[in-house]
Amino acid sequence: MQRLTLLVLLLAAAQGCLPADDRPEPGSVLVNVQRSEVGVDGFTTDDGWTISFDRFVTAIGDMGLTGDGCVDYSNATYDRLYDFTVADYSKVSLHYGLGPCTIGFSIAGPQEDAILMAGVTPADRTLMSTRATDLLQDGHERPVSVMVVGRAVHADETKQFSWLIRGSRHVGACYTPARDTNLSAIELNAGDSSARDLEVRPQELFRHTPSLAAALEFERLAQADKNGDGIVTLAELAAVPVSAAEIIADLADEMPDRSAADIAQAVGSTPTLASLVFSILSTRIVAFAGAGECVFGERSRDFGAF
Amino acid sequence: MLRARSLLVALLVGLALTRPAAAAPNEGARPVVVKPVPLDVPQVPYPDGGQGNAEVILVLVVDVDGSVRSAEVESGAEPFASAARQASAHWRFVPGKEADQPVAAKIRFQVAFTAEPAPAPPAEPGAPGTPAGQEASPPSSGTLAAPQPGGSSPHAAEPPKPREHAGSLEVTIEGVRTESQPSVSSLKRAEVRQLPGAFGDPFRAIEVLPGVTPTVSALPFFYVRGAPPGNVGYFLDGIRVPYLFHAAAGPSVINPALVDRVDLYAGGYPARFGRYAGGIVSADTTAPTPEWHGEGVLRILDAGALVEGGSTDAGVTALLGGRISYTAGLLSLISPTIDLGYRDYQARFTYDVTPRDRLTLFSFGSYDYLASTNTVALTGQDVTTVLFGSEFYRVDARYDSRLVGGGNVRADLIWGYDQTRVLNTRNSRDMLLGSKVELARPLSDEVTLRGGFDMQLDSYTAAPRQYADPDDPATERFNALFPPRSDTSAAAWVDLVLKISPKLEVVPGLRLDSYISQGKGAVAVDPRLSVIARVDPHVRILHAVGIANQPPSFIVPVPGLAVATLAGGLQRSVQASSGVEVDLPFRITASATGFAALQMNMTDSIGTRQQPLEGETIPRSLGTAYGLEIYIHRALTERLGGFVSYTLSRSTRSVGSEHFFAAFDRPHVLHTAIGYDLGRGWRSGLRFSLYSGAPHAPAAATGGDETGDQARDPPYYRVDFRVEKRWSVLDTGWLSLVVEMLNATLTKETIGGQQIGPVLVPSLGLEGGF
Repeated sequence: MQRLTLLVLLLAAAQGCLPADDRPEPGSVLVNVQRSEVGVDGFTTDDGWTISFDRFVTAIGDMGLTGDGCVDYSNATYDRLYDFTVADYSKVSLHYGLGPCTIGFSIAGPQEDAILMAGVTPADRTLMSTRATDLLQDGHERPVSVMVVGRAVHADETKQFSWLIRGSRHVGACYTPARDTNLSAIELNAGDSSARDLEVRPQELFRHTPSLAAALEFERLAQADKNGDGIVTLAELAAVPVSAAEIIADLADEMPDRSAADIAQAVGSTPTLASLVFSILSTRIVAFAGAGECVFGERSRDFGAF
Repeated sequence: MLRARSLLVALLVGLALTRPAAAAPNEGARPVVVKPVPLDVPQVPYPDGGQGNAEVILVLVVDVDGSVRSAEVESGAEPFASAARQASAHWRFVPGKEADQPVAAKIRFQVAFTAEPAPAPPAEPGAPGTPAGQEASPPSSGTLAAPQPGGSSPHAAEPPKPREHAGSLEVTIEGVRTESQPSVSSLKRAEVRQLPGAFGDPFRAIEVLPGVTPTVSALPFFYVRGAPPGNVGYFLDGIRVPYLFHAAAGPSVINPALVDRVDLYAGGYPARFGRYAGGIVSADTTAPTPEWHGEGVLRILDAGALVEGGSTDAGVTALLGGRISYTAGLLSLISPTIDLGYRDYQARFTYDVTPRDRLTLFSFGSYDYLASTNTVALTGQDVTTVLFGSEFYRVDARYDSRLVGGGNVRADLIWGYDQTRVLNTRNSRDMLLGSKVELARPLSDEVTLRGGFDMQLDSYTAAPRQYADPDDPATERFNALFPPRSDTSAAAWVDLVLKISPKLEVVPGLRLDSYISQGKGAVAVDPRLSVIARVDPHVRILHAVGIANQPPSFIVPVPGLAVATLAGGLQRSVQASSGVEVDLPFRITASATGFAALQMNMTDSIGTRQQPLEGETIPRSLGTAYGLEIYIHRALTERLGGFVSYTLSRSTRSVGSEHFFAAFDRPHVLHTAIGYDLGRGWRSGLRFSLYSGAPHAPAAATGGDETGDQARDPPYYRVDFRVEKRWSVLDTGWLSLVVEMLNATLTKETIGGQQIGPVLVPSLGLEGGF
């Protein structure tokens, strides 16, 4: 009996005081990203230019569940680096939680351990994760969130573009165009498994203004190629002013929960084609499938030890 | 038959206290210092060749365990002087005490030799020189004077008693650096209690020592001579422990009342220390004492107590201590969803099997817990998520023996259990079993042999990470770094303490370590050498050089987490230091030490800003560190005490062709403190700390020397203060009220270009003891 008592005490001691993970069973949600037909096959703008992409590389990840009464179990913050000119329907990440949650994600410069998907090389990851600055960064050094390489053809004219879009965005709630449903919202119940799809919209870079109703066009970008070398660069786009009022008006329509002051500050007093494409339209290229506008903000990533 | 016998008249003379000790429990300036008392002091055989009566005065250093650490002849003729000095190695005392804590003490001890007839003395069994049933040798000369009447042992007939000696003799309580050892700085608890910002914790006070570079203010993780926190080993009574502090800026995991001293070996450490390539923090517990005593503390965030007592007749002592926080209760008033707590315990039982042999059972442990509870909407279900959890426990069964003929041996059997919550979702554990044997044996007056061996088995397990994406690289990285496995390590070491001359001591040593993990092995050979040259009674030159190896290490020590892979080899450092230490007037000591270290194959992901795992290997780097350490010190237990500790250093890393400053290279680190006994039980202290900002990452990887391209954070400073009022309670009790604050200037620190804080730790505590 004494030996049994001793054995029990030893076993108890061997478990220590720290409890095991005894949280109640959660629900799960698997987030995938759809194949981008536009990324693979290209598209034609409303002004007659045919756009095709050689590379459309971006990192999606850093996903999390948030919201009042939402308990996130996962804490999975990794990225996957996709080239949507070749990517098929693919997994983004799997999450566990309980309660009514909003799924947030990032379009970002890849982390050093970002998983490389089809068509993406370690050199791409290195290039995109390296912090640097450009005309739009006000001297700040930021990684590349989107790498776009492609061409636009109209009649016998061809324009090439090779853009490194810097800065990362955290995407929160995505609403249907009618703004009656939050597609990022999900209710997770114990034992339930569900799924959500993201879609990639390369064409959003070519909207006239930040509105889903705005025309897709390339002509004014082609006109920005002032040196006539057939390559449309960031510097050339930065030399072409666009209407601030027009942009602000569209954003105000599609983001009624943002104040006019916030929108005006985001757009700036003298927007250009560069700031429109690189800073505003680029936030709209990934969203939950079927969504209209998404709420986005600056991304703040905590680089953990693991 | 004539036989020579000694008449040992042991006299503790002149126990004049030369200085006040503010740590003393009694109110006022006079300290309570208790002299060592002879406990087991057998008679000294009358030496061959001796003639007539003689008197020898020895200067003894009685260690905290009552043994005689050193003996020097102050006066007396040969062969009596040598006989007395050699015999003293076997004597045993009740150690001296300061503020109720056993301390090493220097005393003068008089031995009188008298020629007399020789009845067999009632010597203690096994006592050196006078073994049971064995008569001491007669004088070879046969010219002894007539024996004195009364043949009984003076030890038995006339117990030694202190006697005031004209003028001069003192008990010197050992404090910082009174024992000169190369590359080691020591802290006594009595002094640490007076150090503002240390909250009475000897471990927390380590940060003020030369060679120590902080990472973030108030955090107990630091670089030692350029070596990162993961390369610094922590030991308590020679037992490896994963860390010494509760989470974040919490108190130490060992009750300060149990800690006698803390040594920081910044490099070139003795051969008995291994498995760490940076530095060693080694703490010794207080010697067991059967006299009932205890201490308690009640603070804003926690309460702790320790009590010890026993029976001299039965030869047993028992100690029980612990600390528990009630932060959870306090936090619940502010944030009901957060649960934060820590606790620790210490228990020790000793049994003196014989006057020379002791059995000890020592156990201690620590527990930290931080969790948040959230309520699921709609269902109202509460879900508690452990954000951080960590614990470790040790049980040490120990046998100590003082050897006949001098020296001692210690054998330990150690069981341990470490556990940490990792990635919010799973526990990582280490169940360890270790053993070690250590021996110290004087081979002659000039040579002491020390050696030992140890081995440890570690069984690592980790609960599967449930509720997580299996593709998450964090999970894969963790599994690769910390897979379930059993590791084995073993070591053997030896060194010789060679007293070449009274002014020169050389200690060559060698250590061999072997490691096996996941079927792969590694062997390390670590030579060590230290030299002490006493060029003058007040001037010492100290040299230390050595090689130290270590398996790949994690960023900081974490219970239950040890890097598995030996791929890429061991970390290795070559450490060297050279310094001079000078005793100045007014009991001030000053030292200047230059050091250099080459750190090879390091897994310092903090210093190089790398991910801890790259593919299946850990990124490695080459490090260098060099600098100058200045330390001027007058014990804070003096009526007016203080110190200046300054480290000028440079620490770099090289990865491939890139060369840059280490992440926490801080060229200037200054700590200075002053303490003053205001009288009537009041004592106050002020501390000022200042250090350079850490360098930023290179702006761009140029593939060459990038140090010129690294900006720095601004410097950081802070001021800590401590005020204490102490009262005497009854005869031996004391009570004190302590107000203390770390970062009273509310200074914000900048790390990586971002301002944090201000990190401050206020404390209001009631302490007492008896």
